[in-house]
Amino acid sequence: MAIYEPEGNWWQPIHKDEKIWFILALIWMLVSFFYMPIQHFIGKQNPPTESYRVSAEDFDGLVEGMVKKYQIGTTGVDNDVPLVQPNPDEPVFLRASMWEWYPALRLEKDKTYKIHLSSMDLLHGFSIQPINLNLMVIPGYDYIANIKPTRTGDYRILCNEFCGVGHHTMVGKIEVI
Amino acid sequence: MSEMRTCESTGLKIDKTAENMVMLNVTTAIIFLAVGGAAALLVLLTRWPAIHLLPVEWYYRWLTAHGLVALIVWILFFEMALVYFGSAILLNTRIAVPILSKVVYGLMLVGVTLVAGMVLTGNADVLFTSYVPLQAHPLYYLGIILTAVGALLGFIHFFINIAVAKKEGKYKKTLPLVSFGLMAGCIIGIMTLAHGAAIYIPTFLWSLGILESIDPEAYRLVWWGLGHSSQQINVCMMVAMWYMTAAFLFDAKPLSEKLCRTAFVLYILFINVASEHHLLVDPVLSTWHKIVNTSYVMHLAVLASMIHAFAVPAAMEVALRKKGYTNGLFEWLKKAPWGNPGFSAIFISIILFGFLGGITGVIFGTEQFSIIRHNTWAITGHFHGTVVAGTTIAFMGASYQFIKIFFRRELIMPGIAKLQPFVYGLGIMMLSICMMAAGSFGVPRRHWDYNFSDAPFGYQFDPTVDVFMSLTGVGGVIATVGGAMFIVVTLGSIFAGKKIEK
Amino acid sequence: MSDDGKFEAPGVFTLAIIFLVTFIIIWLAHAKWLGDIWELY
Repeated sequence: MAIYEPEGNWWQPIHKDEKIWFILALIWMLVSFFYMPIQHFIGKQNPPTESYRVSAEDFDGLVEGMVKKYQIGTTGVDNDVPLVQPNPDEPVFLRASMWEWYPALRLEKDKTYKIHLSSMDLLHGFSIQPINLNLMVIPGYDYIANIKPTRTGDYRILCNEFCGVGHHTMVGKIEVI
Repeated sequence: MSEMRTCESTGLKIDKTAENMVMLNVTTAIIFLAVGGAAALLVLLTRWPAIHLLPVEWYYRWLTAHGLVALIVWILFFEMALVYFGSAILLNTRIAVPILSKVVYGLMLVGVTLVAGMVLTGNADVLFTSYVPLQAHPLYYLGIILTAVGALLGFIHFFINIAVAKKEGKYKKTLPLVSFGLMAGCIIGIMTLAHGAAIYIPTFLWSLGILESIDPEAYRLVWWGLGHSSQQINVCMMVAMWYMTAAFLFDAKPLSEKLCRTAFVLYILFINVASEHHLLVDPVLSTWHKIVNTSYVMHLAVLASMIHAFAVPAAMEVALRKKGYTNGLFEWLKKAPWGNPGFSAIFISIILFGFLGGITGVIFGTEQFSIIRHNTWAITGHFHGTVVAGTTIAFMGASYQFIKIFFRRELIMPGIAKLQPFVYGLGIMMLSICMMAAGSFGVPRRHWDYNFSDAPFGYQFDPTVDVFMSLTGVGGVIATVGGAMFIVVTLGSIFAGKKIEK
Repeated sequence: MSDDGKFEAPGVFTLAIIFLVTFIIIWLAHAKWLGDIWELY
């Protein structure tokens, strides 16, 4: 039994049912594994792979540069975050900090944007709702996501990485037209 | 030389010191489970929208405490008991270095007390993961380091014990399967705590101002080498408890020792990777790195779990069929001793770990699926399916068996004991499924207010979410009742149960 | 300990197949849900 040292030669052939189960389980495990690399060639949703180190000041400069160039209005809410409609051929910079997403974005459907994500202070979680697209935002790093909105609408960016007592107030906005 | 006694029901020759250490650690573990469970109740009543119990700071504070005590402290003390069980008692031998077992216990107790003190006084509002640049008081990190050093010495003690046992001829060529599984856990444990040292010592120095900064992404990578691997210790030891139960209760033999031992070797080889499934939507790491790591190398360690989850019930089925329950496919299962909480907890653990925790773990740990689940409440639902419905319920089942064998007490309130695994299992199952449902709609984890009051832009989840948030609360309350039943029955039996004269 | 073609544990084998089928179904559901979100590279 399992609580005693096994007697004699325990390296014996496996019974039929355990053997069949082992083979079925192995096949399914390999399928679920190979799905991952294959998706990088044929799939349309893959975690982004481009990132760089960046200082908070430098990233903030890039954000403000974009806002200055492409701001189309304000959002008129408590933190009065600017509304920006970037050119799809130019990089988009989104800044996370305690406790806002800056700026608010207006994007065009079926255009692919290079969105740069970074944080000014702690870790934040970039979570687009209601589609439930989630990425990490790390201070000191620029994470570049190539995103193509496929449906119009008014979306929210939640923060889903704990960042202090104001964590639940950290909500941003993306409009897709 | 300490005294030995012979256990009549198992035939084991039990060393008194080893037995005392098992009893001390099991009792301590259960007390901490009560604390972790109380913290769970506070937190779940806060996320239950109709109640929203704690104010914002205390929510995150008790959430930190809940993660540490329920996920680490309860389980680690229980695992120390299993170290002595697997390396001394199952080998009919003594603890090699009795003073070391006391040092281990002392370090862990002091460390945990320091951590609890820091958390509850608001000096460590950093959550269980303490992600840099969040910073806690230096004594918080010191407390964790002391606890980790204690546990590390405990895992090392396992190897000292089996080396001495081998030398004294207590086993000839190979350990009993249960000890083999516990050994796999100890190997992973040493690796886990090495990661822990690598991350907590620099972070401690940073909190003192000696180191200027810690890279946040490096922290995440190394921390999860501690964080996830610690859960894999749990998997090995939980599985070892499954085999132990089959042996103790049914005289059941694994169908193939070869297959089971190979499965534990797969764990040792591949379970040490996989931590990067926490980093699938992080910058810095390359795709190939993420894929090979998150899959535990082509899902081979998952295959090992699937082998064990078949082998253990199969061994029980064979043993019960031999007893005469051969009618149809499931007579053996219907006639199994469901009135014995030592059995029912273990079987519930096998089913729930597989269906709730295992399936969702592989799925959420798939690089692409992580995009739609990372940091949502679905993740929380997943790991309550593994470490609570799996490991905790299994350790509950083991506790009932240990009360009979080591504490040599009858269970008090046998009617309550009989129901306990079912109540707890039902509660956790409901909690886990409803968390995953809410998370699939985007509800964040570790979040005080899913209605986003005081946020500049409002957001309303699909109204179905409100139902799942409330049902999670209901499941959690049922689980709390089941947990309280466990605490009362076990501590009551340990201290006041009728003594078994043998 | 030889393989004589008989199932030693037909009950558990049945449960295991149910598990595998459940696994595959839930996995496929997630593949479908993933396909519904925006494109991301």
